[in-house]
Amino acid sequence: MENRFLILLVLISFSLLGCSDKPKSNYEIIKNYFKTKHNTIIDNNIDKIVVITDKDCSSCNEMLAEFSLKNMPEESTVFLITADGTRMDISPLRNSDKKVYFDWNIDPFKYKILSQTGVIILKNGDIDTVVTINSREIMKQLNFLSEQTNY
Amino acid sequence: MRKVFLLILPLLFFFYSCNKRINAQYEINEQVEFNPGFNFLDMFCGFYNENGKEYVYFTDPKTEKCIKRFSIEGEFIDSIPLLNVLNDTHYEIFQIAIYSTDTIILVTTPYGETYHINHNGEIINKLKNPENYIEDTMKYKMIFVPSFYSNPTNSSDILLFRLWYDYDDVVIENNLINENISTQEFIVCEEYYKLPYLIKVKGFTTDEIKIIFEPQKLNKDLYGDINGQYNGAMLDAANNFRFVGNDLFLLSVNSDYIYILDGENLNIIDKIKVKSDCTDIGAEPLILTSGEADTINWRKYNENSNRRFIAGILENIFYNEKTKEYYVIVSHKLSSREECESYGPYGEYRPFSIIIYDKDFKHSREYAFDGNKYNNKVSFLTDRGFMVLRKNEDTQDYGKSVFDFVSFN
Repeated sequence: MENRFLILLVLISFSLLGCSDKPKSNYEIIKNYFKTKHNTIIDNNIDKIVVITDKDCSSCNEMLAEFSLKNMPEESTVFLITADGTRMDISPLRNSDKKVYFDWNIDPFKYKILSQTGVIILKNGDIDTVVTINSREIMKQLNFLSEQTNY
Repeated sequence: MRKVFLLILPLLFFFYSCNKRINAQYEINEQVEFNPGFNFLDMFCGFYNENGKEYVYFTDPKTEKCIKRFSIEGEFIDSIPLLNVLNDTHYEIFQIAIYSTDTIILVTTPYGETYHINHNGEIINKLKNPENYIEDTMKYKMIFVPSFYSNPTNSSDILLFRLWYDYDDVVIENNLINENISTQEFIVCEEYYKLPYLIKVKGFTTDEIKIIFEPQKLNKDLYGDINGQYNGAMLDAANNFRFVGNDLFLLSVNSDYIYILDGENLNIIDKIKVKSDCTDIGAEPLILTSGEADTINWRKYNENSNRRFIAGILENIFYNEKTKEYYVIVSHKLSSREECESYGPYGEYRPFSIIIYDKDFKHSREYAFDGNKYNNKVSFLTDRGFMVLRKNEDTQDYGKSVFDFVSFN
């Protein structure tokens, strides 16, 4: 009787352990974020997520926003704007008819992958490259993104 | 049993002494909501009194490019366009002060251009570059940096600037760096601390501009002066000023003293040590190598920023005419940059105290405010009481601001 109880206990414990969440990949975190917060599906048609924050170098943030609005194709690019317009002019993003989503209260700890200005390049249902913009290398980084977008 | 008692006794003692520290309670009297429709940086919200009526204003020089004025009850009055100034200047609007409907002062950074506009946004007058008024005998090229806070002073014809050293087109200033510097280093000079700490520009709304230099004592006082040697760094920030009558009260991030200066000649008259029961006060200045001109690289710059972010700091001072009391606002010291960011990206909603002094700074009482409730940098002393910006918990409420009116027993 005792043995049976023990086996049952072990089985239940195992099944509970099996139910516990595996750590999510950054790609899954991004997909879930857009689905729950913006009701948007990130599928294989999307190959770039442009994140514009108001952290650090404001002119770099503006440069990336301007570059991306001008050069990145509408159908395959999603913009996430966490800058609230106090440190950079976000009116071009507001007025754009591209896929631009605003979130001024994103949790930077929960969504670390979306917490810095940059471009997340997606490929085959996963993250291929993350370009985090910094003032020292921005020209090089924009050139790289230019090559990526074939412009 | 005895052991348990012996353990509990010191604990009780500890809790009792902790409670005693916060020796006074504040009360929230009312809340007022403003809806400018945009978010704003701390220095872009201000308060003024015109003909006995009180007003609050919010500025967005980046996206909306306007100032919005409200009555203190939260009623929208008008929107003042900033396009004339933005089209005229090559620089960024850094500071704004409204003294009356048609006396609106805007200061740009980094070169301290000062614009006087009216309520239609038309430029009435401008002080293109205060640097032109410095005598040629001044050895170093300097730039003028306005105070971080919303009102340069509480007088409509006086501006105060911090002086910064400008060398080979490399600009050093509070929180704003020239992003095109290839080396990403900031060149500083050991003689810097011998320069005046601040200057006063008087009569900028008239044609008779007069510039008065602080007599080169404050830097030494703030950064130390050992045998005439350079003993600190100048990347200090968030200094604040306030005139009370003819006295100029000056606060620095590096000190736990309030400096009282003669408002006319900028001589130091007195200094008052502020003591809080909740926090240490003053960020340690960054010490640079004595000797030749030094450079500050990113590592040092970040190190210094971190010190400022976590130190207990004298933030502001108000004078209550009715009760003849001074209100000194002190941000509490934090343990780490991470803790700071847990109170907002820039620690805006960090814990703080208001220490209320009598007119002679002899007696005081301290009121402690918990973190994640208020932004002490957006606070004003009004006829209705002390008003402070409340943290907006409602994520859907973009562009709305709620202030609490607080009274002190």
